[in-house]
Amino acid sequence: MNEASDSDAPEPAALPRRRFLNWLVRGFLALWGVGFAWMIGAFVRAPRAARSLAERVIKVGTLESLPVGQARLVHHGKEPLWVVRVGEDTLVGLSAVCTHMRCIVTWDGDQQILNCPCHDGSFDLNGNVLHGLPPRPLKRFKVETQLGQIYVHL
Amino acid sequence: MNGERTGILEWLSRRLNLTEIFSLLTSFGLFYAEVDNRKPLREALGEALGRPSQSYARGPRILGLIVVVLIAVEILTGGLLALYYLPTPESAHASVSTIMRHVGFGWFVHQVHFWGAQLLVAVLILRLIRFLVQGVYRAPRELVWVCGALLLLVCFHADLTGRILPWTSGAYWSGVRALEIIAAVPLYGDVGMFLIGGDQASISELTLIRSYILHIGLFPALAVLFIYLHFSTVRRVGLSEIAGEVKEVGSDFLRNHLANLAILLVLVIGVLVTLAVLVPTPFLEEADPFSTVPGVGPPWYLLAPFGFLELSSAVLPSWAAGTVLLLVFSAFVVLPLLDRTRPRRGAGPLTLGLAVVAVVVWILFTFYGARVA
Repeated sequence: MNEASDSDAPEPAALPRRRFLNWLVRGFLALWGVGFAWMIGAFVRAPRAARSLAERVIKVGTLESLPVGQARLVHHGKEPLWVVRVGEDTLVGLSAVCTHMRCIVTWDGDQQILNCPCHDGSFDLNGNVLHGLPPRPLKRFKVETQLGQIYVHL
Repeated sequence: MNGERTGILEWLSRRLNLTEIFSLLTSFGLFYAEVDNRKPLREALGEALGRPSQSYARGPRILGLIVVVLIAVEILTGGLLALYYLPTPESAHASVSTIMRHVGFGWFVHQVHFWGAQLLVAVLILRLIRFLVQGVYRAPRELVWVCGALLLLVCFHADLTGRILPWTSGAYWSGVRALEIIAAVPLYGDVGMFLIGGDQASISELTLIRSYILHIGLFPALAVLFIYLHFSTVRRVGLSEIAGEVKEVGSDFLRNHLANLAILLVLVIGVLVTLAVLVPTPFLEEADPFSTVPGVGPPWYLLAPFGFLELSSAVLPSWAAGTVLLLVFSAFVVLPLLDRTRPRRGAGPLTLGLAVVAVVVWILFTFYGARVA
């Protein structure tokens, strides 16, 4: 990549310029190489969307099959969970396992709360303890809808 | 080949046939001289450089090198895209969408892959026109022409199968138009439909995965094979002769040649980056087999056959028009057998006249095809 061949007797004043141009060309090519290597690295590095695909996602059913104000118990994974359709587009996923003695909580559609049958604990739709013995709120799950299907991220 | 590199090279040369490895690299465009595989690398290289030769990184021969550079770019960007692409009708569009929107530089890699393919086809066509005009198909360079023509056909197919993959409405309906043309050609069309599991009327659910397999497997392999065969025959018969060209000797020649290669690489990538950024190909909505997008024609290089089929459908049955296409393309590949007049510089007046007519007719049909598409 140096053009030393085409001038047979360079003047002394031309030498620093030639050296400078050589450095410029090499520096440019080096920057280029680094840039492309960085670009390929950025491409191969998986984006966040791909990482969330690697999470366990389960299909609950169609949005139509779950009217507003109703809930469905999902038997999947290590523990069951409730999916509640709070509003037209709002869905909530809550663990169905009471944080007190691991009883399975039940859905109370009239009051829109979850009750624990064992020791009279109850939770609101944010999973917070309303009253009773449970020491912690219920675990929440991310619920999303795509093309009319309900998905829960475990 | 400096003093400090001697140790490693000699250590390696006692364990590997370095000359053979270098010789293999020369078969893919690094340097074209015939290398004696039995001699040590330095001796073989010195011998090869001792023979007077011309650089092919200059003048009209540069087209062939651009092809090699573009195929390398296509293989690199294609390999990157394959890290994210999912070849099923359900997920293809979503995966390309992920590449375009979420993967770092994904849009750029996608655009460079697209524009690289368009440039590749265009440069291969220009290169064959130059072969024709300068008579680079006469003995002993028949295979230079045949390899070039087959490489062009392979790149047509690689681009065609690649176009369907994003599964956008444009890709889908452009693919349907292309399949109609392919299906009209006897024999070739039957083999094509057999391979991709579709038929004239529709793209089946197997078409996508099969296009993908052909696109990443068969066609790149064939392209590499034809490049290899091309350089093999060039090493035997020498580069095409250009009037008034001086042959050079020695290590300065090699250094200048490598510098020319580097400049060429920078320029080609510069053009690709410019096209990718300034003229990006649109990424349309997902394909819907039940809603035809108006105004979607076949790919630009198939517009001429498309125009011909449309125009001839009034007077010829489709199999007859397809047979004409088959004969034209076959004649194109075996041109060296058809024009066997004694070797001389440039094409004969008859061949040249026919070639000019062929190119003009092709361009006219392209315009007609673009109008009716």
